[in-house]
Amino acid sequence: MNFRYFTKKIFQSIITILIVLTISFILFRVMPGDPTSMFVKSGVDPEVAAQIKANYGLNLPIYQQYFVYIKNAMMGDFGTSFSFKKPVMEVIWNRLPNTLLLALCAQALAIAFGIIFGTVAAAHRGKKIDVGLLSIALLIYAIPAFWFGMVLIVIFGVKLGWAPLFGMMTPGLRNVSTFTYIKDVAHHLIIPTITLGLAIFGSYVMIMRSSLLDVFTEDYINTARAKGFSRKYIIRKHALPNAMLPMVTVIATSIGFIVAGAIQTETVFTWPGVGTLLLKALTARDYPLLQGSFLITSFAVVAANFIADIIYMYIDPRIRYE
Amino acid sequence: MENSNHKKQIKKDKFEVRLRNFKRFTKAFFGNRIGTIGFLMVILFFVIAFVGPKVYPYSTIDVGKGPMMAPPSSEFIFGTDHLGRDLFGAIIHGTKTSLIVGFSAAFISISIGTIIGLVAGFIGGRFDSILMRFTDGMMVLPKLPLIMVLSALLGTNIRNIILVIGFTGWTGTARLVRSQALSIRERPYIERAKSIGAGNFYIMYKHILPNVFPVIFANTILATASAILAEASLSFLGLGDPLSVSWGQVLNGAFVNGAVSIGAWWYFVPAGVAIILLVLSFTFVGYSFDEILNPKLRGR
Amino acid sequence: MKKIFSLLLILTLVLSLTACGTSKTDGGSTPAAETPAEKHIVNLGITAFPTNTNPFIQTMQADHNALRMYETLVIQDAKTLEFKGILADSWTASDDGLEWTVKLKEGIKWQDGEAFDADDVMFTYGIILDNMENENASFSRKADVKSIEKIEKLGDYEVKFTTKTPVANFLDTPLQVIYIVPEHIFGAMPLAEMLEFTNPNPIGTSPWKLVGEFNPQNTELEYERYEDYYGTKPNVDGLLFILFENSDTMYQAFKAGSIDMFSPSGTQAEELESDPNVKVLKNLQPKLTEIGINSSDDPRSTVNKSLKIKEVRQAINLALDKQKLVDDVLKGVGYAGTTIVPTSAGKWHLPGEHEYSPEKAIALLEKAGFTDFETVQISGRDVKVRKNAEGDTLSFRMALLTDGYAWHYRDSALYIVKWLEEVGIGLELQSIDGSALGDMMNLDADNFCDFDMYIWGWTPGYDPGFILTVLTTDQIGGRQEVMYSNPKYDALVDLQITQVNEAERLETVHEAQKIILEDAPYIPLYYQGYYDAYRTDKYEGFIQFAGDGTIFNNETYINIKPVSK
Repeated sequence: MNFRYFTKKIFQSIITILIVLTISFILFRVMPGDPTSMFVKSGVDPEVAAQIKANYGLNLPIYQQYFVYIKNAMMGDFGTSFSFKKPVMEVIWNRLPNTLLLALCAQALAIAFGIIFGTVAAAHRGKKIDVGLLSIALLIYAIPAFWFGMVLIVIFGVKLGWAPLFGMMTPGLRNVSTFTYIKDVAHHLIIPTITLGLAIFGSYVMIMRSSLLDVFTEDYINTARAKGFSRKYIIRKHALPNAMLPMVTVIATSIGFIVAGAIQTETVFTWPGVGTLLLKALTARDYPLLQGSFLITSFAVVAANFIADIIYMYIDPRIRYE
Repeated sequence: MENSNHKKQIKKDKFEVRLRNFKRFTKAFFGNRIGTIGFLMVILFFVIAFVGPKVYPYSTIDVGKGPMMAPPSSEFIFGTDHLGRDLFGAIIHGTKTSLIVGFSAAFISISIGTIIGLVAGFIGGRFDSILMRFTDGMMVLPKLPLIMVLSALLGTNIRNIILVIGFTGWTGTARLVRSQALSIRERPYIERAKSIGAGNFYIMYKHILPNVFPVIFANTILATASAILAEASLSFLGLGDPLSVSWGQVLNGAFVNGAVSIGAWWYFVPAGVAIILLVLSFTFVGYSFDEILNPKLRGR
Repeated sequence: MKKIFSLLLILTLVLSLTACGTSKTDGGSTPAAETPAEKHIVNLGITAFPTNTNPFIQTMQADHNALRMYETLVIQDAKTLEFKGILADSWTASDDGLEWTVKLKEGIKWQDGEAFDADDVMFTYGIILDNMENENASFSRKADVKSIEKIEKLGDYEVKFTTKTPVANFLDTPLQVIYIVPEHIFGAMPLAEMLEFTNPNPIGTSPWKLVGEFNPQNTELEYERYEDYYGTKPNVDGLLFILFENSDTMYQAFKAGSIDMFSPSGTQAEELESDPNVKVLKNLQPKLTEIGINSSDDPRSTVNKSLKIKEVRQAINLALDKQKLVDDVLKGVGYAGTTIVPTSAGKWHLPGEHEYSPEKAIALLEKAGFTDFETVQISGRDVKVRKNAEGDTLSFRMALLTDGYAWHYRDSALYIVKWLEEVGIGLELQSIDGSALGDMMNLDADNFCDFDMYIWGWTPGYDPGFILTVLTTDQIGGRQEVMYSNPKYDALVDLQITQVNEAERLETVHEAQKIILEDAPYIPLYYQGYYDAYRTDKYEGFIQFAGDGTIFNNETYINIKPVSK
């Protein structure tokens, strides 16, 4: 393990988090006229309001407020949600697993099919199948996820009746076995997973394809070819492992973004995740919750980037033995 | 006299070189089937956006013009929405909104990205690292939530939506332009220009900008596509102006008013297809631009 | 690397397999089949979730659903609308109408086993009455008890209310609206804590007991039958209120049989008519949807001051084709609005027809000096709006709620914009959440009064007492949202509540409505009817309140029973 690389990446992540926090500070504290309104719902008992103000250092000069803010954020204290009257972190924690479940299933689907189709396209470069897959990838980029979700609901839910239309489980499900419960959630998960998975699938095909094409031009592939190995064998044994390098980075990064990207999908399917929570916070002007869910989604991206760097360190020998 | 003739000659030569380049470029572009199709589609959308509203009147407050939630008929070829408004009109008039939002937002974000990228790449040093850290910070901010938060704080109308999408979408361009600027900076003729006392601004404007311009241009087209998508998502989530006409607004209406569960496909299929086609045509154009201008991609 | 790859593949396979598996076995089945047959829990669809279970700070209509464990002293019979005792056994009023002696039922126990007696009633009313002058004590029911001078305990099961003046609707307000809370729980708390208390484990006296802890973040709220209830016990084992983020979701859940009763939208009701297992009812309980016009004089108010001109407000009223809203938006269920007391309140409603006359509206505006025109940009359109010699333009911002229940506000708003533009008034729509708009009406809010107009509504009940007080001066910062103040109106409202003679009261109530009609701080749009729907294949015995009202009422919950098969 390369310690210097590791610490450097940690340092970079911390700097990025600080920048994110600063931007959010500007967004939520400096931009609105009265920053107090971001913490205290108007109409609250003046005594309570004064207490909250003191807790978040709202009486201090702005630069000191900034430090109090950073300190609170580092300790996971984003204030109390107006609409739920509970700590913001608790509210978000409640919802996060639902988003992660959806996001990870969608990722798994997109990665598997992205790699398969990317490889197929690269292996048949320039042929009809390649052009076809490329066009599909471009087309997918152009489809808004929420619209695709609506179309899937109409086809599979309304017309065919194969899938439930909304939510994460059948409402009012009571007194059932764990198995039934899991089955129910899985059933509700299918179409949202496909919707969200498809939204990222296109870019995976493109990246896998181009990364494989890069590898194909390398000398060792030519050598292997000269040795008379079969094409399939070369792709599987030589080309794929190397082409996976850039994929890993892209995948890790997009895992971070998918939490945020799930907003549309969650809305269409009324999936009880962080995305719908953020939208709710927005319409209810629940600023502490809004800021909290905004920061959490940003941190997810930073964390994912960091993990990508670490994975990269393990699989890319050039970094490990540097 | 002779001097000025000489200058004219140089200008003429320059012009000819440019013309030749342009011709070569257009030939390559129109030799590319995808690019040609995309270009024609963009033109078509422009015609719809700027001629359509003149010949086909529509307004968001034309409620009760037809029956409610009626499927396509000869009078309303795309059917009507839940308030009896003509959906075909909404698509036609929404085209303009999409194009305006797309181009204006892309213009803003590309300008910011280019300036930051150029300055960072060319001046370099500590300035570069500060700017790039900032860009990194902006990059990890999830875009849709950021846009949502900003539009909530600023209020939702078309102008704010443009500003918000514009001010959040520049990071990619900044990185791209910076890396281009970095590589160009090392070229001998920049050294030469510097040695004869050319200022930073002059070099940036005269030598670097023209060289990164193709990249910027291709990027603008792709940024337009993503701005159009961003506007649609924002309106769909109910954060648009209820009185403005846009495709995202139509989709929001369809979603909120239960078109999905009663299977009123005409309420959301045309608007969705319109978004897909418009974004697709921009992507086609941008993609083939990239292919021609970005030598690394050539031959793939 | 290969491992990761194959792992992913396996994961995908498993995922798609479970997917196929479940869709085969689970396709179309309803949860009812999985619930053990002996438990009958009625599932009710709701679109807003309660925020707390504390009756002292309950403000939203949705909060009522979280207060089912509490009871009031009296209640109105769903069929006859006569008052009958719940916690009260009997009551008598003195001849001068100033003293109400209420005998309580004996032997009632709170759900935690403690005995219920006069102390609980004394505490509940007392704590509100003691803090009438304390501005920091934000009891939401202050206005409802203001007629009470004092409350005395006459015995363990007897209390006496003394009122300042005779009160015509004393049984309705306060007796029917104040939930009695247990003194042994609330009495132990300091005031400030009591008013912040979310009451996660509420203890009441009703036949319903909350299951689990109350959490505003949940999407389900479950009650079970309280077996030791002193009165008529419900036939079903429990009630489950289920939150749906949008009405579409709720409609689908109803069609699939996941919920047993809900209120469909007009379009949904039409679709449901053909379903043999569904009964759709028109629910015409008194409801009011109005345009509120901010007429604040507060220096902090940002209101367009043209709205303070009475003629402008009257012109807005004349410019609206309200019947069209009833036909198009409400799909015919409801009545065009005239005064603030809804048609379904019967005789209390001031009879009269709404006059739709753009010509008269224009004439009024011209008379008020708005004879010039100016073109302004609203949402990308050029709109010609009127202006007067001082340069004040008739261009207003209207708040449009984003909440689920506000779907008809949003649809109506487009019609309103259109009609107002026709007489030279421009409207810009601003989307906002109901609670956020409510915050702007708090006197100490920093964005106090930052609105010109809004569409909102009330469910005022059958007695006019409540809806009339909404516009009195003392409600500014409370229930009142338009900062309207007219001493003559205040006096009439105060008078009608003291008029025990019904004919006299009727006259005063009508008189008060005429003032609002003239001043137009509220422009009633319509008294919307709703649809209620229930599945006939699962439960029977639903009761419509007052014959044409809602089926979401106490008596339905107690009366319904599983369909005998």
